[in-house]
Amino acid sequence: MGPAILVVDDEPAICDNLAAFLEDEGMRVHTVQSGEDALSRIAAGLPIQVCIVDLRLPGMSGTDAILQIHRIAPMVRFIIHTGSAPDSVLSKLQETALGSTPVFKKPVGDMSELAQMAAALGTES
Amino acid sequence: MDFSLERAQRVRFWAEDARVRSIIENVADGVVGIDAEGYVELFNPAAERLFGYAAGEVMGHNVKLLMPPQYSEHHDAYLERYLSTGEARIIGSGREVVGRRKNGSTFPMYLSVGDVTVPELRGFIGIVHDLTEQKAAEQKLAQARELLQSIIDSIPSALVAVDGQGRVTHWNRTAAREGAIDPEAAIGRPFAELFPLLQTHMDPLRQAVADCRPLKCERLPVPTGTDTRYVDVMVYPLVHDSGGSVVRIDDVTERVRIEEMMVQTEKMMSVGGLAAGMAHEINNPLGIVAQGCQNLQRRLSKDIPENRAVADELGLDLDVLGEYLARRGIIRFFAGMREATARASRIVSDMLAYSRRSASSFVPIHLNELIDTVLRLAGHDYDLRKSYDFRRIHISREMTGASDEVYCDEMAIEQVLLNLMRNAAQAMASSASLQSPEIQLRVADEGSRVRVEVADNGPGMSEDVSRRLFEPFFTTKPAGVGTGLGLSVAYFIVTEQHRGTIEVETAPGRGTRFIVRLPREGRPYGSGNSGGR
Repeated sequence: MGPAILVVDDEPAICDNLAAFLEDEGMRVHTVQSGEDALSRIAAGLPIQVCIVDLRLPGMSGTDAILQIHRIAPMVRFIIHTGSAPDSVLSKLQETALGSTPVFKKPVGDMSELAQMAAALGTES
Repeated sequence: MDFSLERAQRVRFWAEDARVRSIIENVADGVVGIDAEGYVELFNPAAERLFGYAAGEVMGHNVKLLMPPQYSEHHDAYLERYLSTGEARIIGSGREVVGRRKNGSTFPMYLSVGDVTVPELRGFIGIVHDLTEQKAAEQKLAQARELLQSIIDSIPSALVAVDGQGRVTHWNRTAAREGAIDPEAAIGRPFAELFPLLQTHMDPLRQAVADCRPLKCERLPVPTGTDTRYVDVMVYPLVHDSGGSVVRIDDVTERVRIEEMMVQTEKMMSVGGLAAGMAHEINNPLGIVAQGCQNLQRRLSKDIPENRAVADELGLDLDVLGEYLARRGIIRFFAGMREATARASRIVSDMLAYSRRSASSFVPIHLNELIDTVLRLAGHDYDLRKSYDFRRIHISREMTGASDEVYCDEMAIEQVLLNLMRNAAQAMASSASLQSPEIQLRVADEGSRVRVEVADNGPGMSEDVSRRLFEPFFTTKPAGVGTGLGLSVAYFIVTEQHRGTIEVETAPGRGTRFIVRLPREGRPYGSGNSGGR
């Protein structure tokens, strides 16, 4: 069985697409539409290895979500999946141990690359 | 002094007839008579006034007394030669010479000399006409003319005066410099011969000159060897002369270029402002389409176990479905959609370049190394491979000067050069007759800047195209091939981000040369010192 994944994206269609693809690759995928939801699900004990996070989210930003999840679940690995990656957001992460978080820009031309990355990070954690 | 009787008799000869004496004494011009050796025998009152000598002081003295040294020293020899050979320079006619007064000062005069041969003597008579006032007037006139010429010469416009038939009568220094033929030779020639480059605009000009009517033509394009200059041409009818006009030509190329640049920058700024906000909004739906497409393809495939399980459960033969999808061309639609989303996403990321101002990304780069990378990228470029085999193009490299190092955003400059090479390759691909496609890459050390040239031997561009080349969304490529952003992004990266320049030299049939100049100490706007050394 592959790793367990949490997708955080306010677009349900994007959540569905990622879930479908990753499930076909044999992963278990959960989806939430906000950073707050992601945080509370993980705090409640949702067992995941990899979190795929959009940066522009309503309410808590993707970057803040990553930093806070990292604080309560340091073993979780992250993939940024975003339509835009302003340098300021990435440099905020670079100040922490999460500086090397991989970034996939929407639209992802070949999703199997993203799936392979998720699988690799999942076995790492 | 030898006052011989003979000489005294001859002096009487000059004054013998009272009527003759009255004429000589009353004419306004000086009259001086001399013998064959040059001794003065007649000196009338007018001559006394001119030279400041009383007649008695001059009589019997050599006439050389009345000449400054440069004349007097040759006088004896001259007289001698005339008497023995008859060769005359002034005798029998006259010319302008200089006289010397008693006080040593000199004055210009017109001297006409006649040969006097009568039984009593052989001598000469000279009529002296004072030219002082005339000379002063001439000088004043010359000064005035010089001042006027200097005034029109100091005007940076080319000024050419023409008559009613459009023939050149006068010109200023700028016109002499800009004109195609020596203006000296252009006097009396049609104006068109002086400025053949204006040939295509000549008709309205000629008409205005013929009608004596003012005319103003602005921003006339003048093709020169390598690029196009712009001139304003104005015709003003002369105020005091009937039938003539002044043609004034101003080179306004710089002004036109700056105006074009301002319009362009404005356009880019508006695109740049939109781009950042749009990128996210567009990429999300693009992601849904592109990634949805990939899911569709996968879930229609018979290779995934889950697909088989569900199909079996429903009694669906996936092989038959696969055959159906292929026969109805449905697979092709998916491919088309994926490509379209990829292209849309490239447009968005191109536009994002407008809002990119990251000072931190400025690093010292050797441009020749960067070109190595770009050539490698170009060799693998998907779009390029589709339309053209980059390896078929002969690439020549050249480096002049010592250093090719500049501070720049490596990725951005890479994007610029890749774009220029892609354009060159596509342009050459579009020319069926081109046998040996070639790209010349030149890097040159220009001191505070480094110049990079990308030149191809493709079909080149008309002026209409090259003028709009850097405008956002301007493209000559078939629909779907170009975004119309490549060069405007390149322009933005070079001029705005790096404070460099980018220009193009091209003409139909003559290839295209892009010239990029990057300041060595390049740093982006608003970045303070963070980008510099």
